[in-house]
Formats: sequence, structure tokens, C-alpha cells
Amino acid sequence: MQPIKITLFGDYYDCQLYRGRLYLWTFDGELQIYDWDQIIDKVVERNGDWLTFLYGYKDGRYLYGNKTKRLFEDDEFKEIVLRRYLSSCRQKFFLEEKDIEDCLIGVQSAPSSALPIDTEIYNNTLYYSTEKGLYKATAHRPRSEKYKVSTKAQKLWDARILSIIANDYPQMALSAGSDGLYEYRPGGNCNYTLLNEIEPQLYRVSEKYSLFSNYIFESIFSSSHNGNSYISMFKLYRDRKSCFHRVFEKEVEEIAFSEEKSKKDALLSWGIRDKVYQATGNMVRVMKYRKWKENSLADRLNSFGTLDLKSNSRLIKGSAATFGNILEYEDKLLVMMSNNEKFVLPEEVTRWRIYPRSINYLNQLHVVLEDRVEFISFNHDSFVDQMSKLNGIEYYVPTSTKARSVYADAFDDLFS
Amino acid sequence: MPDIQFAYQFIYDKTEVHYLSSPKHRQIGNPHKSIWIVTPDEEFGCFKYTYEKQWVVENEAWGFMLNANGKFIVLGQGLNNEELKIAKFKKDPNATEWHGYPCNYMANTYDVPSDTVLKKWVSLHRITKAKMSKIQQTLSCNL
Repeated sequence: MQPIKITLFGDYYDCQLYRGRLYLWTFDGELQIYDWDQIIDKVVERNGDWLTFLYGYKDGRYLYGNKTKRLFEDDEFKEIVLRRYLSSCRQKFFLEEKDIEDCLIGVQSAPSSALPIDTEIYNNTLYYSTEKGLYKATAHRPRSEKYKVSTKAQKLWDARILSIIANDYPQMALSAGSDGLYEYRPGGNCNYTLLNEIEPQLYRVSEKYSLFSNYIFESIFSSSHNGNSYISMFKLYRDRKSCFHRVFEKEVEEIAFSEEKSKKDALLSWGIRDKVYQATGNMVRVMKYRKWKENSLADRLNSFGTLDLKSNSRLIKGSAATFGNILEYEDKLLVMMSNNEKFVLPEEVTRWRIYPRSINYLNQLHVVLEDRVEFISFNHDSFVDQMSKLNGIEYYVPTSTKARSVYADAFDDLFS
Repeated sequence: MPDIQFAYQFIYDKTEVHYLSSPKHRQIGNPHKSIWIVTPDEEFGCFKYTYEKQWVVENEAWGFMLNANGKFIVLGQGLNNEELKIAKFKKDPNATEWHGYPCNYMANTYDVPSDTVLKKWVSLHRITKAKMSKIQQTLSCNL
């Protein structure tokens, strides 16, 4: 099943989707903030199917609900839903900026008047990096406020940060290229034994080159070209007062967990949550990272399978979401979907965003292109066995009652 | 090539601009320096074009040379023999002469062209927005 696409034409540079608001940076230096649900309702009003757009764009979590899964075990029900998805996949949904004027809830100059190198929104705060440094500004401000993102950004650090990635704990991995890998901890206590605090709440994790990075549970996978990736391993332990501490353990270079004979055989590696991927000439080696194995790296990281990878162009970036593996090449974007289908955007991309930490948008891929943004919704993954899939990170159904009520029960309740 | 320093100058906006082609960036085998593969005259031509286009931010500038098809030409080689297509030019604050080298923005974050310059390149259709974004993030792009 191929994804559903909504195309918005315009001259954009970056985007973020957070708590029902779409943030679009224009090349002219504006930040436009839209009501996301209203945009989706507008598409549905025109010719979209409410069911597929509800699951596909507003509440991606619903398809993972336990009771929903039971409904899909009914072939008749499943056939009806799939038919509606297939119909939406075949349609084209085009929007111009004027079509969504009434969904606009704020326009302002882009923070720091810059086209950001990277952005991340976490805990109602926009973090962004420019050539002048790393900044944060309050975001998701009430509609009554003139500026939905504070115009009084706070500079956190002078360094040029290439990639900002937050996890749930909360920590933020910061890749600073030749300046190394860093971590910013917005709040709370944490024991960072062995790490240098170079600015308030900002720690140097490694001096080695870091092109981009991501969290593999409590540790950080730092990616770099030509086999120079590494894992900065952290360990969680609980003290006598039942408080959790996260302590830096050691750095493990890629060659230590690679089957390749030399660094240069590995093109690019990336890791996120439970998966580590290592691309070589014509294949991707998949490794499973196990959170609760607390001993050696060999216990935590196990071979899980291989994937074919054939392309004449150069692979430059990778990441994974529940719906699959996202591979950026110099001249295209490839999604190796978790059902082993492929989806290709055959042109060079300006930016792409996934939202693996999100509750509602975990199935979406947003791609900024030369003249438009594509909002792509993947809806196949809830039909895929989560434990055995090679492409994409595993979807975890939270086990606690409280957590389940947040993640999946809303949809279940509709059918109970 | 012997260690000869070539000196050039031109007038821009009624001001003399001086350029020195450093032999350090022409010594093959120097493990710490990228090297030009274009001639000193071409190196200067690249700088002059860069300066006249005002791809300058304070005491730094970035430029390139195009072939007849409008594609970036290879200006030099990096420390691992990689092809370099962007040049960085610098001037010490108290000096009058500029100098430059073919830079590897992927290896050194301080070599990444300034956003101001990149935006000008996009506006002139020399690079696409996608290439600007990739250069900002020190990712490879097909210039």
C-alpha cells in the first residue's frame, strides 16, 4: 500500500508539525504557522475521505490500537478500509498558499531572521541552529498572542550545530560536525560522570566528527561518512532512592560492530531506537539494539538481517520511523517501507521531517522540495509484525493503564 | 612548482584589492593543506569574480568557477584527494591582502559558506535550495 500525499505549493525551506500546528519557514525569511487539523478538514471537504485522512494525518496512533487490530482481523472490515485507503493513495491533493489562508494562525519573521540549519520542537519550545549558534524560543503560544513563537530567542551556544534531535527523557543530541557530538539537557537532574559541561546544561559527548545523530534508547548513535560512525553508550541505573541516573559509559567506534573489513567499505550508518542500519555497497545490514541488555555492546546489538540496496547516486543521510527507513541521496529520497515496498521521490530534497516521538504524527513524512512541500502519510505499518520487521523502528504499545490511555485507547473506545 | 608567491591586485569600488596566491596550497603532499589544481591566474580570477559579486562576509568570502555548461569545476584537492569545487578566501583583519584555498565544507564546519553567500547563490540560480540546505548541513551534494 503506497502512501497518501498532500502537496502544498510554495517556496519553503523547513517545516515542523507540533501539537496541531504546522510551522513553515519560507525562503524569504518568514515563519508561517497554520492550524493543521483545519488544513486536513479542508482537503476532506474538497474530495478527501474522512476516514483515511483522520487516521492518516490527524491521529496516526489509532491504527495501532489493540481493539482496532482485532477489527482488522475481520476480513470484510479490513477490505473496506483498505479499499478506501487505496482510493486515497491514487488521488492527488493539491493546495496553493491562498487555499489555506484561513488556516493561518500566525506569520512572523523567522527566528533570528535565519534559514535554520536544523530545528526541533520539544516541550513547547523551538530549538534551532544557525551559523551563529544554537537558540531556543518559546513556541506553541496561545492564539491570543501576537507572535506564536517568541521573538526573544535565547542563545544557548555559539557553535554551528548541524543536527538537533530530542528524545523523551529529556535530552537533546547535538551534532556539531568537526567540533564533535554534544548533549543538551533542558531540565532535571542527571549524573553525567565523565562528561564535560561546557555551557550550562550542555555536555561534550565526543570530540569525533558528528554529521547527524539519534537516540538508540538511552545511548546516542552518531553518524558520519566513511565508517566513522560511533555509539556513545550510556547506562541507566536506579539508586537506593529509586531515582534513575544516566551515566556515560564509553564510546564504541563503528569498526567494533561492523562486519566490514575496513572503514571505507561502510558508506553510511544510522541508528534510532531499536535499530541500527549500516549501508555498504549494495546492501544494508540491520542490527537490533536491545535496551535492557546492560552488559557489553555485543549483548545489546545483534545482527537482525540484510536489505538490498542498489543505487547509482550517493547516500548522504538516513533515519527510520515506524513506517520504514528513510534514505536521502544527493538526488532523491527513498523510503524502504516496513512492508518491504519502496517509495521514491526522484528529485533532490531541501529538507525532510519525520516525527517518531510524536503520538499522532508518527506515520508522517514531510518533504520540502524546490517548489512545494509534500505531506506524506504512510498507513501500512499497523498491518506489519512489529517484532520481526527489518525496515523501520518497532512500535511499542505502552503497557501501563495511564500510558495506554494516552496512546491507543481513544480509538479503541470508539468500538467498545 | 617552486615556492613562488603570486601577487595580484585590482580596483573595486574605487578601492585597491590585493590578492596573494600562497605556495602552501600548491605543495603536493602537504598533509595539512588542500591544494589548488587550477593555475594561480585562475585562482585569482575566481577571487576577483567572488569579490566583484560581493560574496563576502566581513573578512571571508566564498566562490567557485563554472565551466561552459554552467557546472562547478574542480578547483582543487582535499587532504584525502577528494575533489573540491568551492574556494574560501580570507583576509586577516589587520592585513590588506586576501588569500584563499579550495575548501572542504564537509570536513570542516568553519569552511561552510556563510548563509548570506549561499542565499545569493540560490537567488542567482547557481545552486538550488536543496543544495544550499545540504551545504549548510555539511552533506554531500552534486555541484
